[in-house]
Amino acid sequence: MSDLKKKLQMGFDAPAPIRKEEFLEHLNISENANKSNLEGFLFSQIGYISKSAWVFSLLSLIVAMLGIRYSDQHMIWIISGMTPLLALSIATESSRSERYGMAELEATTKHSLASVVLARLFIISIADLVAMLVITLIGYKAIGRTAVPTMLYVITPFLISVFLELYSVRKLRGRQSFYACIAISFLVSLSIYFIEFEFKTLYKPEFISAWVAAAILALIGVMVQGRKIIKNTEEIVVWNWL
Amino acid sequence: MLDLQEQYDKIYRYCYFKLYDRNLAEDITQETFLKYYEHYSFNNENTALKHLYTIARNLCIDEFRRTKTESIDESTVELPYENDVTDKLAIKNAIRRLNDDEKELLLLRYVNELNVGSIGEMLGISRFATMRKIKVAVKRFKEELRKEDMHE
Amino acid sequence: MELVIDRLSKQYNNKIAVDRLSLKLKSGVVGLLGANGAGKTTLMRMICGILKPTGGTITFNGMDVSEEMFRDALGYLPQDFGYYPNFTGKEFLLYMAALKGIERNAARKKCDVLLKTVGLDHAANKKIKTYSGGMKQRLGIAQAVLNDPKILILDEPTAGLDPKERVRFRNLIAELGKDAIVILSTHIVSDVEHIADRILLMKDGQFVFDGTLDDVGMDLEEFYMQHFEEDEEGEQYE
Repeated sequence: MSDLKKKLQMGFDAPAPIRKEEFLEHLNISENANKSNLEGFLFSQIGYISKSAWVFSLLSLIVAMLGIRYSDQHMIWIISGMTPLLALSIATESSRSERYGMAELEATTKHSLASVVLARLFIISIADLVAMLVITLIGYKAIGRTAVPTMLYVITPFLISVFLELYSVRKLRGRQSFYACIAISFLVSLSIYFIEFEFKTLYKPEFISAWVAAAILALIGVMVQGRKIIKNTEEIVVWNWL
Repeated sequence: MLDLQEQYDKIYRYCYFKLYDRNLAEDITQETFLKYYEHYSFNNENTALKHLYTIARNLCIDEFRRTKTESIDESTVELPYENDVTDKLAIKNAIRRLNDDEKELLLLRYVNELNVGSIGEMLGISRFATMRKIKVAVKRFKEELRKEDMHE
Repeated sequence: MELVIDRLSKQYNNKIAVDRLSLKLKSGVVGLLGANGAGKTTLMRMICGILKPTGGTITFNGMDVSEEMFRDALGYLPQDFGYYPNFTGKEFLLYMAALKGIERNAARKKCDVLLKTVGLDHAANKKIKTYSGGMKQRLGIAQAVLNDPKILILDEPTAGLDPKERVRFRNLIAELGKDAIVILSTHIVSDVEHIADRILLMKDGQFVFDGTLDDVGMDLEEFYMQHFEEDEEGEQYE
């Protein structure tokens, strides 16, 4: 250390601070709070979505693509009715923590169980939605219609299922929401098959406006649920596990 | 990542030699950190320090405005130390005779060891101008110190 | 730093599991003793925020238990915890670190340090499936202290450990008690004897004793037995 520095350090010798430790302790707690941000958290959760959820999504994607390839115009309703099943990955993801006994531990952390699960569900839903778009873009040629109606037929049942399932996961607990999701997927799927079977008008051109309306409503529903999920990661959630 | 233990002491020292009041200096130090973490979280240490010091500086200026004094006559406020050796006393006297800007520069550069670029950014002057001013401050300090030595 | 429990109650239908408990805790190790069904686990789960009280409040430095900041100051080791299959020890710890909001790089460093502290660094990359009971407990404690918690809740942390590991755990807990509020719930009286600064005896949802080992004035085991002789047919709340 230079002589100059030594001298100056002697001269600028302040009386010791007295409230340092207490303050730094307090700061430490709040520093950690500010550090973790939303995007980082969401990203960190991608890696923890179970491989089976991704596999499920991929499988459904493949099946849907095969369906498009080997079907003629009249078979669109088969595919359309199958997409709600893709939303089932929501069911499995939402109950994973409880099934493996991690739920209690996760619930006591800063980001807590609810946020974790919901964050994952949101990610999966987005991924599946992208998959849907891919299916339709590839498939519309095979079906002989223009892209937009095909997209609607494929995406809307999926959106409806996702919306209803995200809602039920937010409102219900572990095991219950698991069964609720399964029920929703099958119900939406069966409803489509039933209506088409009975009335045979679902996929007629005149009916397209109904699809548009349904798609828009479902999309809004999903966005709203998604927004609530994101808000959740910063909000108070106290789950009653009994 | 800021070493909070170290930076707390440094910011405190900076504030103390502006305000010459232990409690006040500590209050402002704490407020500085709170304000910093409220709005920022820089990974780059230099950037973080620059902001930290700027906040501290502004808070001190606000404090002056509040009490309506330009600077404090520290000869009346500073507590005498039992451990002050003659050398140290001479140094302190020499520092006392510098003006506020010179004191600030010397403290930032040689005691708190802030780099020249950051100091410049904080004061709103070019790196070159900063270096020049520091040189002048050093010269003045040495002059005053020599005067002190001659008194003995 | 103070954890304040004020007239805390938990009632199920017509059973009262926790009965208007009031307590103030500062740093140190608190031993929570009591038979099964006395309300220990219920109390701890409420402090951890995973169970909602039917009455009263829990606050830490003024923060309510339901706040995110409260959970940020909390570390919890449940009696039995699971893990996602195929997780290695290190992966588990990193996962918990992410949940606790610890930034990635800092988390990696911390996990390495903690694994070493609990003596699991050699098994860090092995699957938890292969861990012994003691190893799993050690991993549990590592996870609990990841976020430098000010409140540490340990539920039967030494159950199932061999004597050597139990001593190691006790030392670790005693060390942690220097800077944090440690609540140690156990039925192993000797654990409490060795490391608790304060002893709480719980029965039927209430504290029947609150004091130090000196206040007990006799062999803790005997003291415990005395209080719980009548509890042989005690009702279960959990």
